Amino acid sequence: MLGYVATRSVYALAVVFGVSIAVFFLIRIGGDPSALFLAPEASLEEIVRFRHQMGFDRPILLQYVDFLSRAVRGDFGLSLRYDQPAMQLVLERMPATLALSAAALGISLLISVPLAILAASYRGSLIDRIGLLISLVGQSFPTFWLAIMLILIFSERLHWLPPSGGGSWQNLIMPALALAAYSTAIITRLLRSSMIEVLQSDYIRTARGKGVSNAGIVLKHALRNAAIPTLTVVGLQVGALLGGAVITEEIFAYPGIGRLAIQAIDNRDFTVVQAFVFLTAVLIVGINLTVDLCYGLLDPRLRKR
Amino acid sequence: MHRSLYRFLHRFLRSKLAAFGLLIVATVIFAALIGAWIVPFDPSAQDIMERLKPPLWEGSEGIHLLGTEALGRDIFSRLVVGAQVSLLVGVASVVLSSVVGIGFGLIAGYEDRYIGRFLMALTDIQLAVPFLVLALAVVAVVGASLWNLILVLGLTNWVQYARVVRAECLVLREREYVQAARVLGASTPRILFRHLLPNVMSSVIVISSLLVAKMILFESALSFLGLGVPPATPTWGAMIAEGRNYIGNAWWVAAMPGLAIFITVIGINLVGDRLRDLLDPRLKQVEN
Amino acid sequence: MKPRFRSGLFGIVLGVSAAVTLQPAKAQAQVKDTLVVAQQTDAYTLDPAKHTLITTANILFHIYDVLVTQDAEGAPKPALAVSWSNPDPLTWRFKLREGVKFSNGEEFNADAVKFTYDRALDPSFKAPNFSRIAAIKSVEVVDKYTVDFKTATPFPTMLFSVNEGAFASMIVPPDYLREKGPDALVTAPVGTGPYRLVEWRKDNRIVLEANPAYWGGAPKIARLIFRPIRETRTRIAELTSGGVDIAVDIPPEDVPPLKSGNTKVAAIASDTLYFYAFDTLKPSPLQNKLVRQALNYAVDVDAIQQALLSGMGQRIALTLPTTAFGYDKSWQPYPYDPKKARALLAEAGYPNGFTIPLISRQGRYLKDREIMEATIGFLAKVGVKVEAQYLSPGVWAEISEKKARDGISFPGWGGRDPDIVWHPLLHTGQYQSYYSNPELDKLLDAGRSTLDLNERKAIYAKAAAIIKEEAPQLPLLQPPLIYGMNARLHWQPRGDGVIDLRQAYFE
Repeated sequence: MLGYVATRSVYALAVVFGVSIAVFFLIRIGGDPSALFLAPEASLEEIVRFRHQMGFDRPILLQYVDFLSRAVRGDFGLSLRYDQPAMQLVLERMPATLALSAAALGISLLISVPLAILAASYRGSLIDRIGLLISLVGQSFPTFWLAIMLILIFSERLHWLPPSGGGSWQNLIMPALALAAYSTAIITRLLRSSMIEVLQSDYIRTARGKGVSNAGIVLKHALRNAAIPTLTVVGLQVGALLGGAVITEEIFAYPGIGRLAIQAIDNRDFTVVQAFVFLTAVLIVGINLTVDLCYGLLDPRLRKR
Repeated sequence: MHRSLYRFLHRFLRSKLAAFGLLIVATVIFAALIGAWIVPFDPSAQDIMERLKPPLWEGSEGIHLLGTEALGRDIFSRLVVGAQVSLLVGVASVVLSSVVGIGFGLIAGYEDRYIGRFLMALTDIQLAVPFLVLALAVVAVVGASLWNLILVLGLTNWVQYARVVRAECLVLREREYVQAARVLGASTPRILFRHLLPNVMSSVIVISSLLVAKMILFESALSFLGLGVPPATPTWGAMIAEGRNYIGNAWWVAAMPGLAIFITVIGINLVGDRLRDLLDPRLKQVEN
Repeated sequence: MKPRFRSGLFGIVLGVSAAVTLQPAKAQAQVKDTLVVAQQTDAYTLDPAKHTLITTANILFHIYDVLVTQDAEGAPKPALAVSWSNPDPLTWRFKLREGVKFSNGEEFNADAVKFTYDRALDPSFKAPNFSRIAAIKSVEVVDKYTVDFKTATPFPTMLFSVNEGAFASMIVPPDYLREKGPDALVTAPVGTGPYRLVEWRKDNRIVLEANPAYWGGAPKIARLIFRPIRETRTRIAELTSGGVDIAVDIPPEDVPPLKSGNTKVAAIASDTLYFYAFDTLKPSPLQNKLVRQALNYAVDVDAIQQALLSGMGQRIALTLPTTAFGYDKSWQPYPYDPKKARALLAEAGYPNGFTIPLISRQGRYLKDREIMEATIGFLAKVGVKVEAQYLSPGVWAEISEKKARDGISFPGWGGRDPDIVWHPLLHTGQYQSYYSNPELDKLLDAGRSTLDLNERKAIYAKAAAIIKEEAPQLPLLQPPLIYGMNARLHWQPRGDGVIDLRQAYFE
């Protein structure tokens, strides 16, 4: 088991390293930020001088070696725009985005798990149809459209919730709802079909035959087994949530890393983009690793693969 | 072949919802194929004096069924022509990502050691970067155009194919007929394409149908962030993104393309769900 | 049991009635002394010499002061400098205000002015707005409250280099920076301005509180809060629900509904210029003067302004804001005359028109995309087919650097002096210039090398005649700056886009 954990962890590190290489070169293909950073009326000489001062004119491999030797010491460099350490800028905004993602995931699970259980238990019933409708509708409109609608209804019309900002639970509701729609749909559908599959399997039939109560079967036996494939997808949804946060944060002016990332990409603020991608990669890989390991614990056969 | 297709269609249509979905998809494809010839107005003909006219049922005295947008262009005509571009983006990017993903999956599933491991590491790297951020970064570098958009969407959404195809290949390669082919000296490409590929196609079809819907949504998200297809080409995503600025006084400019996306995506998802039920072997057991 | 129940009930009744009565009382007693401004982006840095963005400058201008600011009409107005003169053509002498202190107690004097400019002019400091002050060769301290700005050639537009619009012109405290290190201002700003930093929650809010000892008198509003909200719809929602008191960049369509109820609208024509630049340096039909004139005749700018901007903003005859030095009200734009345009095109040898590329940035300015598409529509009517390309800011910068804005481009430019607009855009060999005309070069050179106002006016009148006739550009308009406001707020917007809340107050 320990060996399994060790190999998986080393592999995870390698993936994060691969991400950092890919991003480093990808964002530099289009050129450097010199002309973009300086005032529009800057002269050509000024741009060339600035480029040289910042070292953007050095061979790209040299720049990479430089980046790597700093990064392994935890130094991701200064942001060009903010004049502050890039990693600090990302870390400052991380809690807000984590809160948002967690709230969205919480809402999704709160809706989808009971819905999927009921839908699978009472196939063809009204609740099953509602579940089907939600899983169909939830993934059929653009997130930003939902976000704008929420603002129009709950802020402009009803004045129930503040349309933007961060820091209080009221600020969290609408962005989390907008973000949760897609995951809710995905999780409902997946969990429902897994549940149906499990409920029809032999051992559940045996349990039924032994007279275990229906609720007991569903909650104790079926849910646990149906949870395994769902868990993997939930793990993968974290990446989608972090990505989706880019749009939700932009619309609700929510102070998270998504907005920072958009601005940094627009500005070609390389150090910030690198720090952002590194951190999200660690997060996503870390969560998937955890899911993997849990999976291994739940199902020992997988460890050998 | 004909008969089995007919029988499949018959089974497919047994679900009323799926039939409804197919009807939607067929309508959209129809609009995309011949829409340009049947629209009442030239979709790019501007008349800024006729801008932001409401749809007919809103009591507008105009002649524009769904109203006009910010430059006085006919929304209905733009929607019909936009179907073409939106579908093109969806389908072409799915084709691209399926080619990449299937290729990766086949190789990684058949040769499970060095190249295979490396390819799977690439998929994990791809998964570790939030899609939208990656797409944004790429568009910022290569610039926004129809084909760049397809390229970006295609090259960032192949992971699911790779994973599923690999998993199936790992099982398939142990089958007798594959082993036999190998013993008989069939080349690796031949084994991959003649023996493995046909057997993963049903999964590929299911993934593809659902992914087309996702791609249409992704296109609208990128348009919202200002990185979609240039405005001369009307896509639904770009139409909503632009129309959202008029939501306060001309809701129909954003609502109509929004509705178009919504209905189309529902249609595609209904078809995809049904295909999954019928083709995915795991769920087939449940159905029967 | 019973008494307890009663007291419980009593408590509830008391609580409810208290809540009911206290609520309005609290609202009435509340004196509005906090002003919330919603802009597109947060400040990047609180060091005035380290950024190029107006949104950042708007925040910093309340923490720092400049030597010369401007009044409501845009005329120069003393700030930290009380007067100025030119002892010789290469010197601008500023007399400084006495008794002004930075918020850390440090004294403002000639040394602070010299330090501020020396710092930003030092190439190793890498000030991104260097170009706006680059003409200043050196700053010399004459006495404790007098400084001389030296230039290599006469510099008629000096007052724009010491105005808040130059950003790096905001005066910083020398001792504070020497003591705390050169990066101290980035997060902990110290200035002579009317407000002080209380709190900066990144991408969420910047809170400033009034400086009661401000040399210009304590501001009437006790707290300023700047919030970054990029999505237009969200800014409007915040405004209408009372969350913010000033929301920038309101689309013209949303103006009528905001004019009633608790909100109002303030608008002014921006100093930014919308125009198309023609690349006349590379071979294309645009090298022909008749073609350039034809394009000017072909576009109905008034209709565009009416339809897309609800008539707001200011139509321009030449690429110069109407508030600029040397602007002559008698200048007339090319009228809309598609027949004439077709005739000119035919005369130039393009009876069937031609195809030409057009580049712009993605939605950088208010309605730029819509205006551009409308233009394309008008040009199509005279047979000119435009292939439009919308570039990300990075790609645009890349292309500009290679001097490859082929065909027609939509650069956007601003400035209230012909030297700031025409010299960089039309003088031969300039980085952003896609035009060359020796006769015009001579005039533009002459205009920037004398301080004599009348002489400059005469020179630029001649230059204007050439520019009109040669038509190296297609001038459109000054777009409006539109602000949604709390109906009780008194405040005037400025054409340069700087938000100055020194005089703002609530009714």
